[in-house]
Amino acid sequence: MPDIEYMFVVGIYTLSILSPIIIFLISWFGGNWHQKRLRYDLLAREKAMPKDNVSTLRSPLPGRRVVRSDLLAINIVAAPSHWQLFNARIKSIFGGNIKSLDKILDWGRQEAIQRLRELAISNGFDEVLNMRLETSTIQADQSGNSKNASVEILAYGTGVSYQ
Amino acid sequence: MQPNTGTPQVAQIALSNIETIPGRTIIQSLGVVTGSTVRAKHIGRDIMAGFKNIVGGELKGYTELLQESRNEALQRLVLDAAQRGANAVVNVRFATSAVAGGAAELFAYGTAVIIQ
Repeated sequence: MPDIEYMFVVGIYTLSILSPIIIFLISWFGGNWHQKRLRYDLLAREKAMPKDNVSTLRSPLPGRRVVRSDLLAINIVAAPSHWQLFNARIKSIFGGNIKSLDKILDWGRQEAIQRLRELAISNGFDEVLNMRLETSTIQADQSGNSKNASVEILAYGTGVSYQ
Repeated sequence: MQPNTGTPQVAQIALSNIETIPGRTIIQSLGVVTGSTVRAKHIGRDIMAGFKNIVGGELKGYTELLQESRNEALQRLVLDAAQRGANAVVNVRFATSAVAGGAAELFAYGTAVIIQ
């Protein structure tokens, strides 16, 4: 009959081997589920918009008089899951298109633009002019390696309301 | 009274990221104004972000942190403009750079002008 101390040591040992695998599995299934939900949520919000009020034009369309304007800015920090990062590292050995990172970056950009649209509407602006996107990497250590990669996406523009 | 637009409203300075304030005329240019801030994330947020990183998606803690920092940078830009006697800043741009590990510099710059 195995004594309690022995079972404890064996338990800790198996847990220490299994925990990365468990986290990996959570990252794979949980991450895919979570990100799919985020994408569907974004699609639903995009479809609910009557028309796109964001543009990269530098001045309002001719014949329209602007009565109010202000700078609008919104940001989002998007991060790939551990599974996607692992996938990307394997893929980067062979090179080529890394689909798993494409997905999260694309989501982040669209989400940032969608938030800018919503910010403009909630502040009573008719249109956002000269929308710009900035992306920057954060969370890198001194040597430039990032264990938990994430990017900040900043969307900004000038909100205008017409007469 | 304007609703909160996410940008600071100090001393009634109009901001835009195009060459003019739409519907107004620029009388005089007062040169480049800048505002910057360096922020580091605190360890609690770092740990929470580490957990969130397992499934990916948005890291809300960092989003808020960067939003606060950017607002501070903008506020400094606006103060700089107010000191020069401007009443608007046009062509505002943002830049972010990672300095020493774990800290990010947020930087805003633009041209201070007087509008009619």
